[in-house]
Amino acid sequence: MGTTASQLGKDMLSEYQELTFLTKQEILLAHKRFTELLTKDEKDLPNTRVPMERILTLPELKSNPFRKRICNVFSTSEYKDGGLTFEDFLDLLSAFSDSATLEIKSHYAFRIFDFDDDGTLDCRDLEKLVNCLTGETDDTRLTPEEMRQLINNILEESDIDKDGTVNLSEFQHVISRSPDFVSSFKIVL
Amino acid sequence: MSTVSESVVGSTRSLSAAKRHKSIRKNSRRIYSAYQDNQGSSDDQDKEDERADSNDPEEMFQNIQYQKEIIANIRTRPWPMRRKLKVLKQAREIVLKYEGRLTRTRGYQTAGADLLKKLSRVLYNILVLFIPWEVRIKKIESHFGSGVASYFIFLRWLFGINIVLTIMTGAFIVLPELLAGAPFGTTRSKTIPKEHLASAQDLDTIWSLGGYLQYSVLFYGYYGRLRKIGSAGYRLPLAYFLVGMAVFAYSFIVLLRKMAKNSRLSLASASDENFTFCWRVFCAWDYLIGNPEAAESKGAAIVNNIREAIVEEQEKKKDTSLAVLISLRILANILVLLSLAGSIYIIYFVVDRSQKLEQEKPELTLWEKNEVSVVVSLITMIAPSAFELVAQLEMYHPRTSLRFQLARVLVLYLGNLYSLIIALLDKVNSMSSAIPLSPGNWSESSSFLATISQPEGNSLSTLVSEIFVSEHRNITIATIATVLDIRNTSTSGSGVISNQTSLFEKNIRSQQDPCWETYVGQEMLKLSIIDMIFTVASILLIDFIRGLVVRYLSDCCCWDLESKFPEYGEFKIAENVLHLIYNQGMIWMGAFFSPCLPAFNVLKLIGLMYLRSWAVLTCNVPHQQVFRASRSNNFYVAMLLFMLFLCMLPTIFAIVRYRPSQHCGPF
Repeated sequence: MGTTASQLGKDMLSEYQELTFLTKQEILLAHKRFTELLTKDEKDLPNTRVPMERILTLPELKSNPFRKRICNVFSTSEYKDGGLTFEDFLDLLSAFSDSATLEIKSHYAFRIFDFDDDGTLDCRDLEKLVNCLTGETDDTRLTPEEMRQLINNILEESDIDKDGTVNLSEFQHVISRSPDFVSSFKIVL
Repeated sequence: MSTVSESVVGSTRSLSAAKRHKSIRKNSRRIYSAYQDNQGSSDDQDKEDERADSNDPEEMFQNIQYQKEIIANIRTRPWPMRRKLKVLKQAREIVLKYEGRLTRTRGYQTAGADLLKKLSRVLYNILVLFIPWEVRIKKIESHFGSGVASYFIFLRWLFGINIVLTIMTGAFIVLPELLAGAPFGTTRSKTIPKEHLASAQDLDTIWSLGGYLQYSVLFYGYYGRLRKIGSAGYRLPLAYFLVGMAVFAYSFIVLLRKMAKNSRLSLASASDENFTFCWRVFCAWDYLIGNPEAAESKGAAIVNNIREAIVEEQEKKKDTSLAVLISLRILANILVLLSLAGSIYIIYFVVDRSQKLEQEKPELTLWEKNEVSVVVSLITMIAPSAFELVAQLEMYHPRTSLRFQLARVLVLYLGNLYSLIIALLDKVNSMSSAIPLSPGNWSESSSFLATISQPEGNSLSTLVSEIFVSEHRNITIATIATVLDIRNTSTSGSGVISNQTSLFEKNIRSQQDPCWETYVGQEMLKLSIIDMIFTVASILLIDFIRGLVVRYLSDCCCWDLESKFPEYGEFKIAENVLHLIYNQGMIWMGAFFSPCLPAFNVLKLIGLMYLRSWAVLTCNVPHQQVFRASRSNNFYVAMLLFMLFLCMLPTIFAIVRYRPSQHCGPF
C-alpha cells in the first residue's frame, strides 16, 4: 500500500489528489523531486524514509529558519528524527499549498512554533521562535531586555485566558485576523 | 496533537449523550466511526447495525451524504496521510455498503454528482497547464517574496482579461468587417482622401496614426453602416454596439467575482484589532523565499521591524512641537493640490492648443502632433516621484505615507485621464456642431447659384445675404467675390456651372471629413503607445543605468554607492500596480472607439511582463521595509473597479450626447 519509489501508481495518484490540496502535476513533480533525493538502493524499496539532512538540501527549505521544525512536525517516524516518507512530504506540500485552508495552515503553523511539542506556546517557545527569525550572528539577535519586552507584548496581545501561554485557539484567533498570513505561508516546488 | 484529543473527547461526549435515544445512538455511532482511533468498537456495532438497520431510505441517504461530506472534507483535516487513507477507506466502505439499497432516483443523483466531481477535477488539472509564466513568477517569488510577486500575478490576471476582450472584439466586430464588409477603397469612409494620398506612406503619418492606419479596422470610422453585410446577413452595427457594452459588462463581472473570492479567503476583520507584535513575529516569515541572500535580507528586515515596534511602544509621543508638524503637513498638502491642479490645467491647455494649431497650420511638426500624449506620459512619470519628495516633509509613519502616496497618485491618474477626455470631447463638440451641411446641401447651393445666374433683376445685396445665410462659414470671401464676378460678367450657363464645380472642389478640400470617433480612438491609441515607450525608457534608464552606475562606479567614488544614495532601486510595488490600473483604464476608455485597442494592450502587457521580470531580477534589491501596503488583496481590485466605473462614464456620455458622424462608422 505504499509507493514504489520508481513510479506512482494511478490509483494512488487519484487517492492523493483526493486527500491533499495538490493538483496532479504538483503531485507528480513532488514525486520526481522526492526520488531525486533517494540513493540508488533506496529507490527500489517501498515507503523509504529520507533522513532530515537530505530533505534540508531542497532549495525551498534550505533558507527557511524553521526547516528543522517543519521536518519534525510532518514526520511520522517513530524515532522522532525528522525523516520524511513520500506521503509525509505530500502532507507538507499540501499544507503549504496555495489552496489550503486557513485552518490547516494555522494549525500547522502552531505546531511548527511549538518547539517543545506540549500543545502551547510558552515563553521558552517564543524565545526560540524569535531567535530563529533573527538569525545567529550577535548583531542581529535581540538583547535580553528587548526579548523580554517583546514576549510580554505578544502575550499581552494574544493571551486571552491569561495563563501565560498561547494555546491553539488563541493562536488561530490572532492569525485569522492577519491579512498577510495566508499568502506568505506558502511553499511551491 | 491537541485537536486529536479534542475530537476524540468530542465524540465520546456525544456518544454518552446519545445513549438516551436508541435511534440517535445508532446514527451517531455510524457517523462518528470515522473519528475514532480504535476500530474495535465499530466492529461490534456492525452486527447491531445489521439487525437494527432501519428501512428508512431517507435516513440511509442522510448518512451516506454525511459520509460523503467526510470524504470531501478529508483534506482539511490536519492528520498524517496514513490516518487520512484509513478514514477514507472506512467512509467509502460505508457508502458502498448502503448505497446499493438506495432507490433508483437517488442513485442516479449520487452517480451524477460523482461524475461531475471527477470531470471538474480533470478539467482543473488541464486548465492549470495553460497558466503562463509560472516558472518566471516562481523565481521572482523565491528571490523577493510574495509582495513583489503579487504585482506579476496581478499583471497576469489583467493579461487574461485583455485576451478575453480581444477575442470578443476580434471575433464579433473585426473579423466580420474584414471578411464580409466592403473592402478598402470602395466607400467614402474607407478611402484616403486625395490630398492625403501622397503623404499616406510617410513615417510621419504612420506615427500619428494617419493614412492607411486611420482608414483601417483599427478605428471606428472604418466600419460600414450597412444594416446587414455578407451572405449571412450579419448585423454589424448592432454587433458593434453590443460588443462595446459587453466589454464593460464582462469586466464588471470578472472584477466582482474576484473581489468576492478574495473576501472569502481573507476573513475581513470588522474590528480594527491590531495584533502588531504577534503579526510581526508569527506572520513575519515569507516561506516562498528560497534564496539565501534574500533570506538574509528578510531576516534583517524582520529584526528592524521588531526593534522599531518595541521602540515605538516604549517611547511616548514624539517631542517635536505639534504646531510645526501640522504646518508642515498643511504645506505639503497644499503643494500636492497645486501640482494636481497644475497637471489638469496643462493637459487641457495642451489639447486646446493642438486643436488651434491644427486649424491654423496645414503641416504640423512631429512634436506638435504628439504633444498631448507626450505631456500626459511625462506627467505620469514625474509626478509620483515629486509626491514622494513632498511626503518627506510630512514625517508620517512609512505605512501612512505610502497610503497617502497611493491616494495622491490615483487622483493624479484619474485627473489626467478625465481632463484628457473632457478636452477631447470639447473638441468633438466643436467638430460635430460645425457640420450643418452635408454634400447634399452643397449640390443644393450649387443649383441655387446656377438658378441665380439666370434671372436678371435680382439685386446683389439680397444675393449676398442669402448666400451668407445658407452657406457654411468655411466659405471664404474669395468664393463670394468670384460669384459676384460671375454675376457681373454675365457669362453663359455652362461657364457658370464649370466655375461652380471648381468652387465646390476648393471648398471640399479646405474642410476635412469630420469623424470625431476615429479622432478619439486615435488619441487613445497614441497615448497608449507613448505611455509604453516612456515605461520602457524609464525602466532602462532609471533602473538599469542606476544599477550599472552603482555596481561599476562604486569603486572609484568616495562614498559607498551601494548603501547610500543612489543605491540599487527597490521595486515599487504599489506605484507599479497603480500604473497597470491606469493603463487598463485607458483601454476601457478607448475600447469603443478603437476596437483593436485590447489587442494592442495584450501585446503591451506581454512585453511589460518580460521586461519587468528581467529588470527586477537584475537591477533591484529586496525591500528594506517589511510592511504591506494593502490590508487585503482586495485593495487593488477595488481600485480597478473604481477605475472601470469612471472610465465607462465618458464613453456612455459621448454616445448619448453627441451625434455620430454622418460619413463614417456604423451609426
